[in-house]
Amino acid sequence: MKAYRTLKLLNRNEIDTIHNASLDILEKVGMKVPNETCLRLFADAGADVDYKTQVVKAPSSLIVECVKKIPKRYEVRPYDRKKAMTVNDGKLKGGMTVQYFINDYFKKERREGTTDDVLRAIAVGDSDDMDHISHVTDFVYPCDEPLPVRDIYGWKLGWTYAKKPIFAVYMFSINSVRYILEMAKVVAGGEEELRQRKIIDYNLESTSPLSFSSHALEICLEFSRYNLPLSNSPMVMAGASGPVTLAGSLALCNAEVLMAAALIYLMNPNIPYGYAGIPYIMDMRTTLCSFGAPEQVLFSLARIQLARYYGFAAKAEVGANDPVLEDIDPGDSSLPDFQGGFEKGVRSAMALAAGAESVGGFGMVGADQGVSLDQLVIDNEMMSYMTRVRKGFEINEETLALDLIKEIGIGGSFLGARHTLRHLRQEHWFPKIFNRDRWETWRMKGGKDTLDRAHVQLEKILKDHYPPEPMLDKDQIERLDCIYREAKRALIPKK
Amino acid sequence: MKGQSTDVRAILEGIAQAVVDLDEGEIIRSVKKAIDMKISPLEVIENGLAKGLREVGRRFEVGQYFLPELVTAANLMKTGTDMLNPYIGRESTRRTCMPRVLMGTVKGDIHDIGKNIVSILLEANGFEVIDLGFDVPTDIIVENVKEHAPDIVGLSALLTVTLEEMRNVVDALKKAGLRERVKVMIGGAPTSQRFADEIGADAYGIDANDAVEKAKALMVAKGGGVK
Repeated sequence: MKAYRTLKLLNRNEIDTIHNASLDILEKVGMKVPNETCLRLFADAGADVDYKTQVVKAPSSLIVECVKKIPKRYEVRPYDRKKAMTVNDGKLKGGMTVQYFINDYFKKERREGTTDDVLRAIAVGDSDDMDHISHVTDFVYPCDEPLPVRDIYGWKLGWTYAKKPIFAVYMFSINSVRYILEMAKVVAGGEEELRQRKIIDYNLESTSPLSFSSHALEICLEFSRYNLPLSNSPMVMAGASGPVTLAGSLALCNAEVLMAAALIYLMNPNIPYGYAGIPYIMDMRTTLCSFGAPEQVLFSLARIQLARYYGFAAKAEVGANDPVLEDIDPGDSSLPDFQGGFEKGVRSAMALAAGAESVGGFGMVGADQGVSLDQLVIDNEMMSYMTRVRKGFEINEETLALDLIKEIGIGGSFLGARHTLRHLRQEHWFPKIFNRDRWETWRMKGGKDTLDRAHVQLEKILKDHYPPEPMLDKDQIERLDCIYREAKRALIPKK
Repeated sequence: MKGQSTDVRAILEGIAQAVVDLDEGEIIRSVKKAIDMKISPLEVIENGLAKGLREVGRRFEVGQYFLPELVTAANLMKTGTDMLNPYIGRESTRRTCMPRVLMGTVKGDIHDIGKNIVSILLEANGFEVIDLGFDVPTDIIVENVKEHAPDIVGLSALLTVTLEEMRNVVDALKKAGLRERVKVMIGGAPTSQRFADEIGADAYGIDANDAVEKAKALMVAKGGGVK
């Protein structure tokens, strides 16, 4: 725990300044809340509500009170109870991203995902080889299923096969959400069990600057009926949907995160909320919303401090709608090359030093450009490395080994000492795919780079774990099938 | 510009340069002067304002200018054309020779930065753009196709959720019997050539520059072409 929570970018005064700026934005400008029920909730709580423009101006006292009281810690209990996970418990976590495209680093091509891609991803992410992935996703959309029900099918796949908690699958509309929550009840074992086990969450993703979308609010209200975790990760783009200056975009992003917390608390005071917002730099030449820019490192450090300031686990959006994650979007590089490794490495190392609880976006290619299972294997390796750094080292009589140093004396060797054997595997980290061969040995083994070696490991994992076995019993599977059939009948337009 | 006096040419050059320099004061002064000198408003637009915007577009393409400069230049062009518009009505020749593009971000989607860039670059490249904005319902698009008879309809979406709306627009155009009259072009993060083929769109633009090239190609295919 040594190399942890020590790095601080902002001083207390600067954090207060950002916080007050956010409150000022919410009080003077407010946010657009396009939903009658939500507007009424704000009005009843004493906010200034304009029903015509659907704009809510919230007094600072209301925001502060709600943010203070909203639950910030919760446990997710997936099918395999051993893989349960507590958000905000200080333990390091890593999670997968979910994207539209799947990329092939070797051919440098990408295509839409399929059901089979989802199954392969779950098989890999769920495996014990991916020991730093605490929660999985579908990784890609199963585009072989019809669009209006694709999200429902995605959750069905995830719940059927994933042993680890499954997050961030995506939800398209209130129509599909109703079917997804019906499935959730079957998977959890009932309505009350769903409330307890929290196997699904939703991220509002307000549209910056300062607007919620009506479909997200509808989904949010539906989730609030079951005490399910919610979060909001606006993607303020500095210079486009927020001020070009970092401080301004940070204050704006923070305002939207706080407003969502207040709204959710007013809906239902038992809903856990995650601090999940980070602004982005938009590259003004390509319009790419950058994940790897140096400014993202700064945003990330500031955001972690803000989250802690409010008592959250400094969770963060990571390119996917994942509220339990902490930091680290991947970089902007299209390949796992030097740029990619550098961006990810710098960002994650600094975030962890600042006290990030969780790292995410595993398997992502570039900035939201798709996914790669090879990348997932590489990211797990990076996380394994980071975990070792975060662990630090103990200083005590046994680890100082003064007696041993005296015993071995001048010119001796520690190789054969029992002390070496006893501590080696805890003290030293061993890579699975990073290279530690000398040049000639490396050449002899085929001169493989990180990607090549990751691919070898990936093939092995797939051989061992694919196709995945269903985790649900026959009755549950049948009930999910039935709900899905109903959804298809209701939601797919007749030709 | 044959037969133009040096004065006129200098004014037009000055306006084009002022757009490139993003100099609002100079644009207002020079356009006023051009109006006083009774230079044809269409001439002022084509060889002054639009010429400047084309240069800004070129600088954007080569990475010399960034997006804020492009947007500012487009706003300045609008400042200029707004000043000129009252004088255009009296002339018989509107900008009818220009190919017309109807642009819109489909229903359910409010992410329109990309669509706006495409609109600006299309304008800079000699297209007349009618921009319907974002979150545009399908029937509004169909109505506007009827009303404005564009050569091309450009549709954008960022959210995967709204992809299906693009298909709806194409289908609605077919149903309204308008599909043969207009080319459909799509773009946006989750779109692809494969998706364009699937929904029966005529072209897919990878990015803003590609969209302009595709629009030009569509016009050539239509037998029109851009000057």
